Amino acid sequence: MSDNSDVEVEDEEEYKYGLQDDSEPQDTRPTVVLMGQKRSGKTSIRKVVFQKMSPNETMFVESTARITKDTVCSSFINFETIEFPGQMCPFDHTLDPVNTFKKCGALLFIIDAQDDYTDAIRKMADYFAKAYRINSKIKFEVFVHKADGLTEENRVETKFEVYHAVKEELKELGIKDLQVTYHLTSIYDHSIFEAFSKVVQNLVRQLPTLERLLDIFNQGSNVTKSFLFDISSKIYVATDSLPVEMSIYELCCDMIDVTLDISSIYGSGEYGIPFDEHSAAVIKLKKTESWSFYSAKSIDSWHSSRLCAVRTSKSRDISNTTSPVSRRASKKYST
Amino acid sequence: MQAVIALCHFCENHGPRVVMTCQPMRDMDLPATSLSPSTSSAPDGPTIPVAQIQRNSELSQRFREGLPLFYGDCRRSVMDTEDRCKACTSFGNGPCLLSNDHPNKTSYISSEIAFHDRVYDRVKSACLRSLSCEVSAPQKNSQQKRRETVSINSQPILISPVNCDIIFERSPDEADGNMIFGDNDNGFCFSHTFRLQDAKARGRLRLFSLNVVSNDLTLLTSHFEFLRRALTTIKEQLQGMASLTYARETSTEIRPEHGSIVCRMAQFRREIAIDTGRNLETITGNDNIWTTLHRQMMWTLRSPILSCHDQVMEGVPTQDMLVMMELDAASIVELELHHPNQHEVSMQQLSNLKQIARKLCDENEIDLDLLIKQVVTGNQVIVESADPSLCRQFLLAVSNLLPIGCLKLSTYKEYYTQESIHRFTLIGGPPNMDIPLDLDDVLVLCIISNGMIYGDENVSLRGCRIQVKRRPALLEKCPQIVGRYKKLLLDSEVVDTVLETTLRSTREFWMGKAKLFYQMQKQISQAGRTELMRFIKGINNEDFDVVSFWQEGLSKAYKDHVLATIEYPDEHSVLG
Repeated sequence: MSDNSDVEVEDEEEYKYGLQDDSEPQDTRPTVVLMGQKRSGKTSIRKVVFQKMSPNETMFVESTARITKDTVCSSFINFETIEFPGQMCPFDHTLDPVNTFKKCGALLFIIDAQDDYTDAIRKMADYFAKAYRINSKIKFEVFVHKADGLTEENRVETKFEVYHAVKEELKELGIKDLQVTYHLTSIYDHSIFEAFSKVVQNLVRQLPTLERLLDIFNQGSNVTKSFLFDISSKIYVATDSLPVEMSIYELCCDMIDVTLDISSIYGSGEYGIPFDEHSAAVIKLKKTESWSFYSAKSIDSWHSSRLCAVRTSKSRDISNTTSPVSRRASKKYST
Repeated sequence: MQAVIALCHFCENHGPRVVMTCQPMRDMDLPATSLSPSTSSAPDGPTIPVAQIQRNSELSQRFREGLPLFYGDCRRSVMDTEDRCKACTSFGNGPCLLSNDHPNKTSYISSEIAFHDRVYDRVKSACLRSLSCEVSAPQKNSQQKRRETVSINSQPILISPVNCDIIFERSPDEADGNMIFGDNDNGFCFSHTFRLQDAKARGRLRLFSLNVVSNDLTLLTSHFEFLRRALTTIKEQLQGMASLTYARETSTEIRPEHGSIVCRMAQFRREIAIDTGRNLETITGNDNIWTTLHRQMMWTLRSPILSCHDQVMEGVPTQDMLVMMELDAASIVELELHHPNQHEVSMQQLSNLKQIARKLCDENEIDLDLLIKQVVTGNQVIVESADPSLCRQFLLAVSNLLPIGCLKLSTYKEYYTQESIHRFTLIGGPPNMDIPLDLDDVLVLCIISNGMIYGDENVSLRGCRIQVKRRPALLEKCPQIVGRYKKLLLDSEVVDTVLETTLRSTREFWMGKAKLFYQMQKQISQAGRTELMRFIKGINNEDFDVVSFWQEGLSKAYKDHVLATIEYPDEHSVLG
């Protein structure tokens, strides 16, 4: 027992929940750097994922001139995104690249799959090499973006081509042990959220623990799949150890939208907040499965309350059995 | 002003680019300041196309008049090697615009990039930072405020969960505005960032910035308000022109709000035919936009210089100053009022004046009284001498006793004509001039030289003898000013500089009386002389001649003003 308690204490110190303490310097927050050629869709991704912009509206997005920083913080997600305009070299000495990339957690390079990407790949390999030399711990991710315009075969082919071209370029630059992850993305479907989720998960230090906790929860509650979502961005911070089916993830995203929409119409509480820690929702589909959403009442403040999506294989309302939170739920919606 | 102004643009293809730079070039007395043959070993000849400038008839005429074509070192030491498209090009490496400020010996040149590499580097760095890095302080925006509150308080207030995650998110427009940034290495910059509407641009907006770059931070901060207003005016004008063009270009288009977006996607894709190669001329629909901008930038740089001049001239001008402004150039030269070494000249005159006073006093004290009285009351003093320069120096020395407006000087005339009687009071001429005997109020003096020949400059009356040939009748009582002048001139302890100041203050004191007398005379026209004299403190009957003569020394501007005030008392206040 005593051993266990020691471990718990250790864990607590290791994994801090909630918002960063105000006294803690802001610079400790990891950053996700977005790069890419001009008009490859960097700003659109940021707007769709973090600012709820409709994908169609991104056609009217202005060209980004400034190096744009956004801070995203919630219970488990706590990072900063930095977007560099495509026309600028982020490694220009006036922009202090060492400082930027020292605290960089992930480097996202966005490639326009519908365009000629030869130049982009050359530039990307160059940037990756430079960033790698500054900080070898950076996670390198490539979004082969605007995949919606390609056919199913073309997508795989393009990803493959990009993979090989990057490999060649990096080889030429003399960098061998650089791991690059590739994602096919589009803002018109859920692939961008999924890809961004994976990027963000790399930055969540408490991920293994969360996975294990969700596994335990699944086993104990007769649940087949559960996610821990950040409802504002639809990024899932963690899921259980079972593989994620894209269709399930999409279903979850849609249901979050439905829940939030209904909640914003009928669910305003005394503070006018549509979805708070007391809220919960159960959505029953035609098939024999039901989905429940709980606001994960936890940790220290409103910012940390997030959604937990739970799928049960039987048509059973689990809201009375799973957690004390749901019993206190003041609002419940069924559709 | 030691600064340059640059217009910068975030080009869709090439990123931040300097589009236009207006730079002042000053005459630093370098050899290559004009098109005259240079003696320096540096490569001669400006890159400015002379042909273009000479097309302008006024400029070429000035060039013929001997004024330099431009000032300062106008050679290009930097060539632009950056990639450019139509959108980020103004003049290219070709002809640029030139304006000359001849009085201040400054040329204002507008080119695409600065001529000198140090300036170019600073402008380039300011361009990059103003468009891509620096963000203006948040304007007082309620929404912004609320968001920030949320990030601090644990209790959310009136905010949806969707918004509260992303803090410090600001719309692009909010980041635009005025800012000062910089350091000692890269220079300081006052920047004004703004957007222009363009139907073919991404997001239908293009980002520009106007930057004033200088090494001197104090200069930027002290002129902050001026620069803010000047640059805002330029911006508003550009935005006005751009939105007109935008309205014209989009008037036939279907706006995206109309109808279902999804159904019309294909149509929109066609409509948003993005054209990144449109330059400022196209966006604003003004072919002369560069000339307009050049003029505005030039005046923005020039105005602080002019305002400095204004400050130097500040204060109530004396009547002498006003009269000098009204005099024509020839009279100023004649009276030696605008000499390069004005101070030395007036010191020489005063020393001569003291010599004259001493000599006359030694011979006969009354002669000095007579001379001063004749001068200050406007009666004739005729000086005879074989040497014209002696006459001239004598008369110029004496002229220090009078306000400039009262001087009626004829330094040397061969004959005493009828015209001289009426036009002049101080007359010089050869010995034994034929002066009519019926003129009783004339003092005739003769200067006998000791035989030494002097140049025109610095003629001293030290070795000369002054002889009085004819005296007018002396009044019982001399005017008060005579006594004052006499005392000052004979006091050996009063040095020349002090003498100059005291003479000037005495002149101004009596000019004040003359002004008062003039005003009262005009206002109370029916009042008699004695009645008027009674109103003015400090003058007696014997001073009347002085006061009435000195009224002629009042400037035309002052007289007009007084008359206008009398006529329309409500509209004018009395000039001091």
